Amino acid sequence: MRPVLSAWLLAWLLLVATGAFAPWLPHGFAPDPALLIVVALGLRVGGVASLAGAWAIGATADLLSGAPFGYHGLLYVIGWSLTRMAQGQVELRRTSALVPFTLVLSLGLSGLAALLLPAPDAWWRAMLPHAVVNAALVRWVGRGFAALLESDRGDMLRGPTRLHSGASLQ
Amino acid sequence: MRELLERLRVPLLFLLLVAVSLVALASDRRALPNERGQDHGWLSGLLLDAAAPFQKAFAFPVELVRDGWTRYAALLDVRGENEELRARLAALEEENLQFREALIASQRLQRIAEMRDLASPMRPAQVVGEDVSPWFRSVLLDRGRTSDVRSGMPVVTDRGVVGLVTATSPYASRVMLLLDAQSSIDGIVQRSRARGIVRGAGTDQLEFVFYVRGDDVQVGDEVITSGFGGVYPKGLRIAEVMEVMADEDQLLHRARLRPAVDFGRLEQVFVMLVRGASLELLYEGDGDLPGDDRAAVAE
Repeated sequence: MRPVLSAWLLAWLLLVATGAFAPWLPHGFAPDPALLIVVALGLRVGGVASLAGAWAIGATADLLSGAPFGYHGLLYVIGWSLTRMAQGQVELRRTSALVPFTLVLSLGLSGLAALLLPAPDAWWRAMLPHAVVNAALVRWVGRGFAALLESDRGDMLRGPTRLHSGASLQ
Repeated sequence: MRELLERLRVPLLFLLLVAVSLVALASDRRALPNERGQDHGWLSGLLLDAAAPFQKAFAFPVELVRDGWTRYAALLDVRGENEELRARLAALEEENLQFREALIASQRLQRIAEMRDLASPMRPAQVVGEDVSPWFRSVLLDRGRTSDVRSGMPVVTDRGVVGLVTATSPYASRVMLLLDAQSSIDGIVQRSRARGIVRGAGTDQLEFVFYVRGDDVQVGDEVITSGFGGVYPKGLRIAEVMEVMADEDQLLHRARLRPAVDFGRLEQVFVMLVRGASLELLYEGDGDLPGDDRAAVAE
């Protein structure tokens, strides 16, 4: 549960930060940090809590963007599932596999979005740089998330170890 | 059986979440309040509220640090007396800047008032964040329900229409820009009174769809709000015609528009504290606009 909560918090923070910097970037060049966190989460944590976490990250992204509720949740649970499935086929933690996977995933989810909602004119013009930026950043976001998990695990290990290793608490 | 359920937990949850998302999408009510009469529940409101100051905090230091560093570096070699004088000068400059900002804000308000004889009160607000997704065009404002901002209220600048408030929390609100692919406004050409629909294209331009019937639309024409549709008041500037794409075989003609507002440089906006007739009807009884506020707005 703790990695999922960390993922959600990190996604929220990155969404807020990216939203603040988005006005300085050309349209379509802002990354989707929440999707990258969902990919990182799917790569490292499985199970229902992780899947529910992906949806919760999507709901948060809906809240912080102009999207109708359910839009990002839908895309992210699909993205999470595809990441889990792909991870079973190839070693996605390798950069050579992760970067093209993220590129294809971003474009694929954009295509799905075009079926769900009225698409902007020439949507692929904005989506292509968006997907490329996502692919370029996925490794860094993944590393950041992994480091966060490591520090979490370290904190969790240190607590009980101290209690059990002590001969006497008095 | 238990093992089977255990194995199917993730696929079942996947199906459930997809179903929930699709139902939520199908009943998209972005500009409408929820059943409790508020735009957002307390949790989502809290998240939105928390985002606005964070985004402000993320954005402003970039310029502040750059500016501060330049000043600091320049002052490093100056003697104490000069430092004091420069500090006083900086304070005066700051004061002067504030006066100029106030003057600019006042001039903006005056220009808005000149666009149309607007009796509605306006609430100035700062844009603190933009949509990350290229699919949607929306911005986050630093004013919310505590500043009487409600869903369905038009947002303008001195240049023209910006968009519509679609969600609010106590201290922040989200505005769907005219550029959003799901945005459409009833507009008229100021010169010829040709009427049509101004649609967002999801890009930096707008599309004007109008009936032919001899209606005249030319490059350079100003398109303003018609007041029909009951969302925006009549007479607000929307855009200028850039290109007319006439097809003699079609009943509907299209024109490409350049928005009057420069959305790339959106900093300060004004929320009009009134809702159009259509939206007021939609909200009536939902309690989104408390009675006291309603009376205040009517004044």
